[in-house]
Amino acid sequence: MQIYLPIAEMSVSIFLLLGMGAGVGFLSGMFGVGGGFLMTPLLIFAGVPPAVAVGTQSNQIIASSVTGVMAHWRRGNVDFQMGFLLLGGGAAGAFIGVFVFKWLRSLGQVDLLISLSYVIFLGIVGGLMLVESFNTLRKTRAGTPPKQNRRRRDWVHTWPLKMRFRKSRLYISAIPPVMLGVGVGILSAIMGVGGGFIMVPAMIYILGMPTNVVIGTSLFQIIFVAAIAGLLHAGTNQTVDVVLALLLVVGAVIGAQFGTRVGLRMKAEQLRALLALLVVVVCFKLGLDLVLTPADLFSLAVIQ
Amino acid sequence: MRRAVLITLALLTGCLFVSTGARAQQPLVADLDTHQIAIRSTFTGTELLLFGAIEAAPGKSLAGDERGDVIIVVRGPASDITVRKKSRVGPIWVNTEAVTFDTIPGFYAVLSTRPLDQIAPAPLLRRHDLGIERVLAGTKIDEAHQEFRSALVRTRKADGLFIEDHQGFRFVGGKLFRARISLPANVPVGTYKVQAFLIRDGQVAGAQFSPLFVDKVGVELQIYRLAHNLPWLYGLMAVLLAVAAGWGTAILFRER
Repeated sequence: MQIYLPIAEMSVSIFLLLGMGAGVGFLSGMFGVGGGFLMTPLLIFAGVPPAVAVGTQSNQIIASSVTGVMAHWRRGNVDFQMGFLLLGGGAAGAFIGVFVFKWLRSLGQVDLLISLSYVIFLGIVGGLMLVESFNTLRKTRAGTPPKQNRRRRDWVHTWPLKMRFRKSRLYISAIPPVMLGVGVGILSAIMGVGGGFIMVPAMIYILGMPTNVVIGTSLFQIIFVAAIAGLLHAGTNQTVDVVLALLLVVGAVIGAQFGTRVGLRMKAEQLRALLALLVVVVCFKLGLDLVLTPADLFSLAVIQ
Repeated sequence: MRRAVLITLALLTGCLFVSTGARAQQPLVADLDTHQIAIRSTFTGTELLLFGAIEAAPGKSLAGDERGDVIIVVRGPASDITVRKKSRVGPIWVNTEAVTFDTIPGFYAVLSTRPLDQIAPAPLLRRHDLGIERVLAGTKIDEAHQEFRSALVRTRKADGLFIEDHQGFRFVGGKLFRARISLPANVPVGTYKVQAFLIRDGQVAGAQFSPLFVDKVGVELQIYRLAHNLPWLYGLMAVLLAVAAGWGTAILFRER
């Protein structure tokens, strides 16, 4: 059954969209990530214009982050103070990102920007995760327990404007969280992702936050940054397709329920290794498309 | 209101055809099976049926060469199109060159009983913009742009938005004809111009014009209009919808 998407202006199989939503939802439930980094490339692969894929994706991120944050909030795992600081930076970052997006779109380079951002960031994060998780797996197998050294970086403690974060049990400068927020906000607007895959490791390793509040706090700020990015994409680029967003959300909701159940039965190290592998594969595929000679060197763009 | 306008339009076009048809001498009468194509959520493209009849010239028959040739043109609303070309920059492929073509029809189909250049001389074809080459003739044509132009034609043909066909015509009993044109799912919306020409001895012996309206309707139209006319409100609604969907899910699947 085909459905016509009013903003993307194309006709796609409704089951393909629901299936993609369910597949990505399954993986996001299993690994506890937003899944934006999988969904945007999948949409582009299905023929959705990259600009519409990125714009629409922010709505799907909002929906899944709201669901996620509710669960963490009930358990008290959200550091609102830290969240608002990250969010302040994130809002500024989303502004910058959407305008860079608009500018490069007029130059015809937005597809390249999206692909390059994906290759670079997925490459770095996926590579690091892969190395880390294989080391952990090897050590576990060798019998030595993995070292739990969360050594806090000293340079963060020397910065001015120090604040006390009760929930995270931290006393650090307000500048690094804001900077982190700006960076992830830009990426969120350009790549159509929540940015959790960068935010979560950065919160643990750079800010030194305890792991239990990291995911809830990151989800909390992602909701707002994605909302700002989505609003700006709709307002300046007219690239948000609600019909597409709704179908993806429905699929993702169902998929995530199954994913969470499977994820609970697996070991944390195994999950992390699998997720790292997935990130590296997506990165490799996108990188290959940039390097290989395209089937058609020419592309058309209708000027409105 | 909208329906009233449509009915009036339909009546007007109807009158047009009745009045032209009433004159027995009119050598060419043609019409479409519909003058209104509605794009709904289930739209996957559609087929347009064109039909009509020709009369023999005075003192001539409809047999052989004396029948003449029919050309039908369907032309969608025009817009400017930028064609970009990738080239290798270091290890990766990047859009490096771009050429913009002005006022290119978003849909262009030309159906004829024989190849166009066998039917009419070039000046006539040019005068009426018949054939894809002629449609693009007004655009930049120096050597450097040639490959961009052929890329434009190639891509549009592959998308089913440019059609040049001289085999799709069916004559019934020598006098009646019909032809089908398929409109793909990605046809641009707007007012289309449908023209039918009867060509005899390299001259236009009869011509007829009629409009075709392609428009989104229902929810699709409302969404599209809102997104383009009130983009910020639309964005806000989309965000609220997403929040509601996420919230609803959280309540629905609350951990027991």
